[in-house]
Amino acid sequence: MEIISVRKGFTADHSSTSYKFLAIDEPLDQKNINKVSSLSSRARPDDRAVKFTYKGDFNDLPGGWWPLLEKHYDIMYSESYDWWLFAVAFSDPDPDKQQEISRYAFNGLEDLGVNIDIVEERIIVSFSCVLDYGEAYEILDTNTNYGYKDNKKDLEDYLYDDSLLQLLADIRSQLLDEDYRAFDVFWHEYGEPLYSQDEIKELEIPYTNELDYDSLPNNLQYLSRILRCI
Amino acid sequence: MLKYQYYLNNNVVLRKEHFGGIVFNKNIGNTLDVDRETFILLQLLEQNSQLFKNEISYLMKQLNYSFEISDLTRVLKKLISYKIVLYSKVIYRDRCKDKLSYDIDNTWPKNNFLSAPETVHWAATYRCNLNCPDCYARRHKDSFEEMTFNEAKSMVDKLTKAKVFQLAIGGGEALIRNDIVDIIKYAANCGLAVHITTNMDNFDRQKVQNMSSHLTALQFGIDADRLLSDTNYLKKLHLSYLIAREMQLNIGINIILTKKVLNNFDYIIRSLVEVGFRRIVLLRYKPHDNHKRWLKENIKPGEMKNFEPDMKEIISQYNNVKFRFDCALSFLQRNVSPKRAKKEGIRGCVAGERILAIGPDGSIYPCSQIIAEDAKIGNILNTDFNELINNSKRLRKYRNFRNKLVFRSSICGICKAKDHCGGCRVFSHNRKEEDIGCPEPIITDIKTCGKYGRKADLKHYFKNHSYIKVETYMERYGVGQKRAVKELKNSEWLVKSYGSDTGRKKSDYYVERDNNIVYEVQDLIGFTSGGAPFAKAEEIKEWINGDKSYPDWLKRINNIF
Repeated sequence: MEIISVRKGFTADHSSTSYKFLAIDEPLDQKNINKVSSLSSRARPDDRAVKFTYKGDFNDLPGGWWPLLEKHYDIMYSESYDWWLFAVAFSDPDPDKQQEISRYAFNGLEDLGVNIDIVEERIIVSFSCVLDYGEAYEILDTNTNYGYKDNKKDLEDYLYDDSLLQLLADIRSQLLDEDYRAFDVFWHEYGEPLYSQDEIKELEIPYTNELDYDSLPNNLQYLSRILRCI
Repeated sequence: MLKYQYYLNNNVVLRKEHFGGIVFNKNIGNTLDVDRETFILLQLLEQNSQLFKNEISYLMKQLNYSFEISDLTRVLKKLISYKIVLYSKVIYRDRCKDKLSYDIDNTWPKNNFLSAPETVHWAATYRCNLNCPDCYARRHKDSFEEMTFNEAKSMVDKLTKAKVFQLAIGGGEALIRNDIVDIIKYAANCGLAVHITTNMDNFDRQKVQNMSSHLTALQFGIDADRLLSDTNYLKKLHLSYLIAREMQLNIGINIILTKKVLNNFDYIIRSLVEVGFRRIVLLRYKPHDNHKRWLKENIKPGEMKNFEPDMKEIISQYNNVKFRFDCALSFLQRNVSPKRAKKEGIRGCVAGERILAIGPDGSIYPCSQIIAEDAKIGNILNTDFNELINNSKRLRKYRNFRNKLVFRSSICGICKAKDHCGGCRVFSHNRKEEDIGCPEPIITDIKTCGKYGRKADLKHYFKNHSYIKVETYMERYGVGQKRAVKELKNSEWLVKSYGSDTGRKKSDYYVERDNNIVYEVQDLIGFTSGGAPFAKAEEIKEWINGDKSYPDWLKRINNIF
């Protein structure tokens, strides 16, 4: 099943696939910067961040985003034709914690939802979602002028400049503290419509079909507002 | 439980083809080639109004198509993003599957070409209120009768029946025709996406308003000379733009890349963007009947090559503007990888396959630039259009030009971009060989390009060299001495020469048969102490042979010698 070719029409359309990565725990050394740089002639990674943009429909990051989160970076967001992927990664060797967090994975409406992969100590959590651009306008309109060698800054500067990265950094921090309410927010939007209470019990999914919006921290309230179904 | 239901966008037209089908959104113009499974999926959506994913899956299985559900999701997402499929979120109810329809013809066309063109360019008239110096169509002014309104309707009926998607109306100045509004209305009501190109000087507000709701897009063809010299022209352009915007027309600009435009490219584009245009189509300068003017304004391959980086840099500054090149400028996309070109529908010359041209009298040609008696395919008014598509030998010739030996033996035939460029047939001396204006063919595998490839490359080699030695030939093409000598001897346009002929210590080399004189002139002019000629062979050839940038077939038609 395949779309063989797409010739765009009369109206201006500058769709692209883009990725933004940020290293939180450890900056990259020169050797790893060079490795990232080799993925694209136009990428200009510095020791904290890198951005990839692929114009046109059929170019993409060689090898995918996954290896970069496994080895070099801690958070990432990607947009492709209005489909968004958020990802956070961290290391935790505790098998109990790994097992606990992996229970939160679910495949919801339109394959949107939460995916959790564990490779040795590395836990990679990815969220597939669609954004309400009306609500998300504020964070999408922030300055993303980073990832350039001549523009090195502190970690805080990267987060200050890009609210979406800040949101993901906060989620990552909450997950590290074993606060899993971010999953509830995604479940509420993409999982809840698909599962009855009986199914939730039967499948031992750690969710309830109730979201207490008021008790959420500010970042998750905001996340809840910007998510939407397709 | 809430689930998504999918349905086909009302503006989408489907056409079955041998590989699956073509899907066209006539509102925004997206055109997709899809495989058979995807085409069946779309037909099911068309037939059933709205379907859940599990229903699609069920119906496709009834038609013996199997696939992974993740593939279905992926394809649906893409179809949604291209505005082919729409969706709504509804409470899921398990419908009785027997009530779903899958009455679909599961057979596929046997021909390996399209059942009809995607777009037909119709020159509604070659009359024009202006006399622009760079107009290629001026030479046709008095050559064609014009079809009547009823004949135009008959043409539209035939195109509609064949499932052509778009009718692009041009000229001449199409708005001169008194019945043009009615023709546009009729074509739009028949389901065609109708475009029109006009010069602003005939921009009749009332006329445009009457047709505005039936037009998919309107292009202004602008005269760069006037834009650069007449301050009122830009004002007029602005006014026309505002009127067109007021009528909510999808507006664009056509601009011909002459040398003057090249020299003022930055200013021209900035001016057009400031006026408000967001779609700019760059057209290659086509040979017209004023040879002197052509020589002055034509951009030579070397100039084009130097200009390319600047042009791309300027274009990239305007993120919110859609730039397009006409197919004659396909060489600008020669560096796109063949795989990407295929995916993005970059096909280069599609004359006779995806496009056809119709003259004011109904004559059919492979492309709007190839208006010649020996290229005429028929007349739509007195021919069965489908019969013509299926059986015209001339059409087949243009469709398959890339497979012909004469093309494969030309430099375009061994270029890496041959499948997504192929060069413009207008700029080939006999419309079959190479595009003589290409700035830089991409020849990467000379040693594996075979004897026809070597033949093509050798001619290209002589554009920058005055002779070739046998050992150079051996080294360049990775062949042995015996083959090198044989192939050089068999090249009828070459003649063996000896060092004593020119007084230099070289032997066993070959020069162009007709250009011994070039060599002699070069020797007369002399060489630097390092051995470099004061005058390149190419320059001398141009002095002697005259202009080679004007295609021979058009020289004959336009009586240019």
